[in-house]
Amino acid sequence: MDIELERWKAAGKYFDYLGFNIFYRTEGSGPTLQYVGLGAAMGQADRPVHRGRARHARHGILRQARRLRLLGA
Amino acid sequence: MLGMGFSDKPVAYGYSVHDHADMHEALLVHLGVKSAHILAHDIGDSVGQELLARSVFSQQAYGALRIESITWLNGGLFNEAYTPRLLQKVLSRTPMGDFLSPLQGSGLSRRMIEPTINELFGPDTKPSRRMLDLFHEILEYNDGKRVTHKVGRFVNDRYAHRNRWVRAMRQTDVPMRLIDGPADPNSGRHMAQRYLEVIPDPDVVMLDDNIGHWPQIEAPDAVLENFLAHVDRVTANG
Repeated sequence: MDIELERWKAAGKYFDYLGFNIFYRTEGSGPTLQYVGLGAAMGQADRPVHRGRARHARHGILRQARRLRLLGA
Repeated sequence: MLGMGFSDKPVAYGYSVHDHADMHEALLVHLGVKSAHILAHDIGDSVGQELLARSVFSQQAYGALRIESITWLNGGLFNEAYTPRLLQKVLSRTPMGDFLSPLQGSGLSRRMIEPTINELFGPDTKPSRRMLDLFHEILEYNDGKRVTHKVGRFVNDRYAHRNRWVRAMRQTDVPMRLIDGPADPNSGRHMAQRYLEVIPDPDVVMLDDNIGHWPQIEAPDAVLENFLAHVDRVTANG
């Protein structure tokens, strides 16, 4: 597995949903932000991800809103 | 979510929006979370709509989550305005998904899927090779190739539950904001236009014209700024 993806995964936990393992991550503190959807892990790429724009998704959105308790599953 | 990312991906399973909503409710109960701001994208929009409907109509399966606010990102909020790519329709709405499933993860499959992924991004924010490789790695984790098309069939739930979900969006007191990447061919500017037509007192933020289906990846700073502004206003008024 990609080393950065492995690192991202290692920071998560598993929840037993009726016998199935659900991967989730929590981060930060404060009011809870629940992210529901796709792409949370992809936003973690630590290199430029865009071809035509000098922008780095260095810390995806879930890592930027540090004053919220972030939850993604 | 079940069938995605690093979670289990059972093959003999009826993936549905309702089940994803059950799981999210159960996880929140497990963590002792009684209220939350929701940020939803793509399939998450449908799950968020179901969570909202359960809240509005007091039909939660687990707990009694209080939704403080909802921020929608690009997704098929209104099925009548959703315009998926041909490959997406073939995989999720026809038996072809079952036939093509064994090919997923192969070079052929990647060559078929990647043009569709690229098309969903804006013209200036196309995914790099590394980004695509990560995408495939996550998709294929836990033998995910066997269930991708099954998970994708959640779009059928949009046909069945569209009116219930839109009714909840119209009746709710939960503050909602749509942050939309206009260049998304599936759910871009035309979806935002439908939101303006259907939702009372709509709060819509249109991102740069060149931002597509993945605003949180293509324009993370703008999404964060507009998301936090929404949360801050809700919190100040609460």
